[in-house]
Amino acid sequence: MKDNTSMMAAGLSMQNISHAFGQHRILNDISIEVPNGQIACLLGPSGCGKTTLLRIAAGLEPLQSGKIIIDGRSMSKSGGRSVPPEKRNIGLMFQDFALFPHLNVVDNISFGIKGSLSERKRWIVAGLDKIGLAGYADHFPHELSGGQQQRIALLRALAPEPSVLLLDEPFSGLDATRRASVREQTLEFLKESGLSALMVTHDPEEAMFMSDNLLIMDKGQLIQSGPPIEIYSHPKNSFVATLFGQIDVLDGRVNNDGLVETSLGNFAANQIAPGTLVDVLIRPEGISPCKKSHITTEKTETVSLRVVGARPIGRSSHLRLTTLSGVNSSSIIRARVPGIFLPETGSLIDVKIDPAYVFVFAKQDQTP
Amino acid sequence: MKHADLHRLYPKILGYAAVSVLVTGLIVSPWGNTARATDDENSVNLYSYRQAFLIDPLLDAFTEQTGIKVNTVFVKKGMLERLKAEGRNSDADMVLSADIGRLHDMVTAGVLQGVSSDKLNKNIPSQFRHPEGLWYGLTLRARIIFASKDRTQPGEVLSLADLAKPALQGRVCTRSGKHVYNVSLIASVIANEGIDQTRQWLTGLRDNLARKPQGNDRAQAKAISEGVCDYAIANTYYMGKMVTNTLKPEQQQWAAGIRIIFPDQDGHGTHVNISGAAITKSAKHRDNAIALLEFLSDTHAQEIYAEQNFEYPVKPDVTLHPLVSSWGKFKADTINLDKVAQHRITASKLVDETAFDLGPQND
Amino acid sequence: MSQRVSVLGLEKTSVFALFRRIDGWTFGALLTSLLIAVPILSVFVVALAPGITSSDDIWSHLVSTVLFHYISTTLTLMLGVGAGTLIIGTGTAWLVTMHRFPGQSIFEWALVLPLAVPAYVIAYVYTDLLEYAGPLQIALRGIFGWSSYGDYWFPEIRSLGGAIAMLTLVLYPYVYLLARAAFLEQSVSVLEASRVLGKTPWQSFTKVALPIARPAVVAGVSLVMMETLNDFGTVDYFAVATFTAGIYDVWLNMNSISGAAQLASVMLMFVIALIALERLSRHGRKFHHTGSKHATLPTVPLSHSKALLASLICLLPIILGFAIPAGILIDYSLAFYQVTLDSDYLLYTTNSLLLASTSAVLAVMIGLFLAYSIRLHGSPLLIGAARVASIGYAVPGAVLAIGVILPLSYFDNAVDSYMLETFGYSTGLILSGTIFAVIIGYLVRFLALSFGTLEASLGKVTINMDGASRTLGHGPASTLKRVHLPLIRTSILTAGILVFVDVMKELPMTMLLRPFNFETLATYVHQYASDELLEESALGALTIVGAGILPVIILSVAISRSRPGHRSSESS
Repeated sequence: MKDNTSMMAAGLSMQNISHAFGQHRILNDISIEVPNGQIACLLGPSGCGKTTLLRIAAGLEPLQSGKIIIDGRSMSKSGGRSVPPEKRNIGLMFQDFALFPHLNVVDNISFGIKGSLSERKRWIVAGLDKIGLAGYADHFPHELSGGQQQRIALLRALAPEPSVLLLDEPFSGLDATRRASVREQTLEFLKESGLSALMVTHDPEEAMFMSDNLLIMDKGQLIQSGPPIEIYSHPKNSFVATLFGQIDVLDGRVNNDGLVETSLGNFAANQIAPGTLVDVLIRPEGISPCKKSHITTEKTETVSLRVVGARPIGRSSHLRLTTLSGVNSSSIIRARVPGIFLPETGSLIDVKIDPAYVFVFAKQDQTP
Repeated sequence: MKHADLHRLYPKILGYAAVSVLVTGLIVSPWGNTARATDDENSVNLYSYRQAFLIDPLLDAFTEQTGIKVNTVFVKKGMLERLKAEGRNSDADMVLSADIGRLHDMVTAGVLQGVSSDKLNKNIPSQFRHPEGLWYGLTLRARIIFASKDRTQPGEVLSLADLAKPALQGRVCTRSGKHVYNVSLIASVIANEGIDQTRQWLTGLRDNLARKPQGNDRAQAKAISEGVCDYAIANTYYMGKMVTNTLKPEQQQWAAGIRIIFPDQDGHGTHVNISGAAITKSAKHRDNAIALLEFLSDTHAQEIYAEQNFEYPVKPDVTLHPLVSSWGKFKADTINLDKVAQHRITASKLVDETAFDLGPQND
Repeated sequence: MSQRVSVLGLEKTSVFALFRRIDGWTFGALLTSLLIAVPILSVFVVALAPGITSSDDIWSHLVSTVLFHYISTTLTLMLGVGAGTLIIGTGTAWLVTMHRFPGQSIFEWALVLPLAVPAYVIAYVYTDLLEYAGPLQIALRGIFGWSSYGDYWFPEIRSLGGAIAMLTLVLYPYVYLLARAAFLEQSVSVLEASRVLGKTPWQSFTKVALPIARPAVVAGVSLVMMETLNDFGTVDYFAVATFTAGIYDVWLNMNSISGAAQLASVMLMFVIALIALERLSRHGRKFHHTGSKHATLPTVPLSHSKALLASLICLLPIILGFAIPAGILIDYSLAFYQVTLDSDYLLYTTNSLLLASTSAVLAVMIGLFLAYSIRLHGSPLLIGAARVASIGYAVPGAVLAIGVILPLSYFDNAVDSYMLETFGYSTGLILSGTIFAVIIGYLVRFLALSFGTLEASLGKVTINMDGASRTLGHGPASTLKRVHLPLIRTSILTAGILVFVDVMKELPMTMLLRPFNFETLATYVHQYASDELLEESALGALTIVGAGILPVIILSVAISRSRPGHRSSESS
C-alpha cells in the first residue's frame, strides 16, 4: 500500500466527482489521482464525460460535487465557490490549440508568464529551438502548420510553470505522419518538466504510448485504471477489451470442465460458472500462422482456417479468415501478422491462438 | 513587421481617442451651463410647441425691453407628459402652443394655473382666453379655403359644407384629417352642427378628394397650382409666407394662382384657431411669465406676429400686415374655443370612422 | 509534506448553485440591464394606468375602425423593408466580398453610405423629385406630351410602396454590414467543399454561405425591422397609417397616453415574439468559427458582362440611397446655406458630435459588459434581462422618451421631497431635462445596436480562447482586455459607429428630453423639416450626413482589414 498522504503532496487529485448538465448526468462519482511526474490518460469513447472531467479540473466547469486538490491545495473555497482557473496554477492544452490569433508566437507563449519576462525569455528561446521552431518567433498562428501550432500551444501551456498540465485530445488535430513525432516530443517534454499531466484521448495507441496510468471511462463512470499494459492484457470487461482496436467476438458457453468450446478451439473460462453464455474476444494480433510440424511441443492447438482476403498494411498484413465450417460472413476472423504475409485467397492456413490475447466474459444477456 | 505592430496599437489608440473625445467634450461643451441655467431669478422658462425660429424675434424683443432672459425648449410630442411627470419641480414657467387642442389637454391634465391682469383682459377679447385665465390666445389663424383662380368660379364654394357637394368630386385637397388643425376644424363643425351632420359632411368631403390627404397646407397650394385639385383647406398665414418667399419664387407662383375664400360668412363664421400661451402650475418665475404673456399680447409683439408670420393679432386695434388686410375682413366663428376643443377626441374618431385619411372611396 | 486539506463537502442544490453564480459580473450586469430596462418597463406601467379617455373606449373604437388597417399596413411595411434590405444587403455583400469587378473596392465602403442619411430626409428629397410637380414628371410630361394630373399613371411616392422603398434604401446597410462581416469570417474550406461537391457559386451562396451567415443576417434584418416599426417621420410624411402612426394618434389626438402605451406594448410583445421565434427556429445552434484556417478568400473574377452587371447592382443602391439625396441636399444648401449659418450652426454641430460620440462610447462599454457577462455566466435570468434592456430599439422614440422621463422625474421628486422634509432644502429636478437624461435616452434606445453586435461577435470567438487565457493565469477582466478586445475590435468599432450615426439622426427623444436652449443638428433641422421647409435647414441635414460618412468609411475599411490572415502570409 502506498502512503496516501505522500501521494497527495503534489499533483492532481480529483475525488468523488459527479456532474450533471440539467437532468443529464455526465459524471458519476469519479476519483482519480495523478502524482507528480506521472502522466495519466483518460481513455474512452466520445461523450463519455472525459473532457468534462478535464474542464472541471481546470475550473472551466463549476464543480458540482466532490473535491479537487491541486498541488496540495483544495480548489473549493468557502461558500461553495471554486478557485477560478487563473488561480489554479495549471496548464491546459486544447484540442484546437486555441492559440490567440492576434498574437505572434512569442506573445502567445509569454501570455501566461507572470512577473519578469526577461527571465523566461531564455526559456522561450530554448524551447522554440528544441521544438524546431527557432525562426518562428514573429509568426502568427495562421501562418503555422497544425503540428507547429500544437508545439507552440504546448510551450505556451508550460511557460508559466504549472504544477499540473491538462491535455484535451492534443494530437487529434494532426495528421497521422506528424502525430507520432509530435507525440514523442511531447512525452519527452512532459517527462522533463516533472509535472503531473492528465490527458484526454479516444485513441488507445496514443493513450498507451503516453500514459503511466491509464483510466478507462464509459458513460460517466470510471471502468478500470492501472498501467496501460495491465489494462491491455487484462481488460476488466468486453468494453475495455474492445477499446484497444478491432477485436473478434465468438459466442460460447462454459462447459463443465471450465472451458469454452468455440470453432477456433477451447479456451479457459476463468472461473466463470459452467453453463454461462459467454463472449470470447480474440485480438487479431493473437492469431499467428504456423507450420503444422511446429506445434507439438506447445500446448496451444492449431486450427485450420480458409483465407478470405489478405492485404498488406505496411509493417504488418491484415488477413480475413473463416473457419472451414463457416458459411456466413459473421464468422470472419481477422488476424494481424507481422511483416508481409499474403496467402492466396481460398487457400488454407494453420494458425495458433495465443491465450494472452483471448478474453472470456460472461454475456450480459443470458437468454440463449 | 511594422504592420503588425500598428495593428496591436490599434485598440489602444482607439481607447485613447474615445477617452480624449469624452474629456474634451465635457470641458469644452456648454453643457455645464445649459444643465441648470434656468435657476436665474431674472429669467423665464418656456416650453414651446412652436419652432424656435418663429418665436425668437419676439423673445429677443422681450429680453431687450425687460432684461429678462427667456430659456426655451421646442418640444412637440410629450410636452404634457413631461410637465406632468416633473410635477411641482418642473422648471417650465410658461407653455406656448400653436393650437387650442394642446392647451385644452393641459387644462384637463391640471398642469396650468390661472392668472389674470388688467392688461391681458384688455388686450385679449374674452372668446380668445380661458374664463379662468388658464390660457390666453395670442394670435388667430383662420382656416380657410384656397381656390384655383383659373378653374373655379367665385360663388361655387361659400362654406365648408359646399366642399362636400357632389359637383366637386375629385377637386379638393387637404392635409391629413388627423393633423391638429383639421381635428380642431372638424371639432368646430361638430360643435356647430352635431356629430351626424359632421360625419355626413366628412364622408362627402372624403369622396371629393383628389388624392389621399397628405403634406402640409403649403403642399395643398402647390397641388392647386399643379392642377391636382381646385380647392384646398388651409390656414391663412401659409398664403402670406408663399407670397413673400423670395428665396423660392415658385411658391409665389403657387400663391398667385390662388383665391382666398373665407367660408361660412353667411353662417356661423370662419373657424379660427389660436396660438396661445399659458402659465404652468409649477412656475417659479410666475411674475416674469406674466410679464412675458403681457408683452406678447401687447401692440409691439402683436405687430411682430403679424409682420413675421402673417397671423391675425388677437388685440383688436393692432394694424394688420398689408398683405393680410388685402384679403379682406371676415366674420370669425364666435363659438368658445374651449367648447370646440372638447370635441377633439370625437373629431379624431370620426376621421377614423370615415376612413378619411385613406382618401376617396367612390371609384 | 503538506497536510491533506479537508473541505466541507457542501450539498449543492440547484438554488444554491444559482446563488453561487451571482458573482460581481453577473450582479453588475443584472443591475445595468435592470436600470436600462426601467424606461421600457415604464411604458408597460403607463399602459396599465387609467387614462382620461377610457382604454376600453379607445380599443373598441380602434378595433371597429382602423386597427386592422394599421396592422396590415405595418406588416406589409415590415415585410417589404425586411425583404428589400435582405436582398440588397446580402446580395451586395456577397458580390463585393467574393467577386472581383470594376469598382469593387470602392463599393465595399460606399455601400454603407446611405446609413448616414436620415429617413425623413430621403423621404422629403424623393417627394420633391418624384411628385407631380417634380423635375422627373415634368420631364416625362415634356417628352410624352401628357398635360394634366390623371392623364397618365406614375407611381405615387407618398404611398406604402414609397415608404418601403425609402426605408429600404437607408436601412439596407445594417444588413450589408453584418452580412459582409459574416462572409469575411467564414472558412474558405467550407465554401470550397461546397464547390467541390458540385454546387454552382449561386448554390454555394444560398446553401452554404447564407445559412452560416444566418445569425448575422437575421440580426441585421431584425434591426431593420425594429427601425421600420418605430419610424414615424417617413410614414407621417407619406401619410401611411402604420401602427406607430396610430400610437401617436391615440396619444395626441385622443389625449390618451395610456392607450398609446397599450398599443406600444402590444407592438413590443409582437417584436419579442418574433425574436423568440427566430431563436427557437435556430434550435440553439451555434455558429462558431468553423475552422482556424482562414486563407485569403478566393475572389471570383467576373467576365465582362457579368462584371458590368455586378457594378450596376452595387452602384444602384449607392446612387439612390446616397448620391441623389446628398446631391439634392447640396443643391438646397447652395441656395439656403445663409439661413443655417445665421443660426448657431457650429454649436449645434458640436452638440451633436459630442452627444453622438459620448453615447457611442457608453453604449459600447455597456453592451460589451453585458455581452461578456453573459458569456462568463449565461444564466437565463441575465440573458432575459439583457434582452429586455435591448428591446428599446423597437419602441417609438417619443413613447420611449416618456418612459425615460417618468422614472427620472420620480427619482428627482422623491429626492427633492426627502431633502425638503429633512433639511428644508429643495433640490428641484436633478436629472430631468439635462444632457444626462438625453444620454440615458440614447442608451436605452440604442443599446440593442451595441449589445447585439458585440454579442454576435463574441459568440464567434471560440470559448477555448477564454479557457486558454484563464488557465494561463488571467482573470476575466484581463482576458477581456487581452484576448477578446483585440479579437472583436472591428465589431466594437461597428457597434460604436452604428450608435454614433443613429444618435446623430435621432430626433424624438432628443426633442423631449433635452434641457432649455439646447439644440442639436437633428432638432435644428426638424424645426424646418416639420414645416416642410427642409431646404432652409439643408446645410444642417447635410452636416448630419457628412458626420456619418467619415466613421462609416473608417468602419468599412476596418472590416475589410479584419479578416484573420489578411496580412500577407508566407506559406509554411
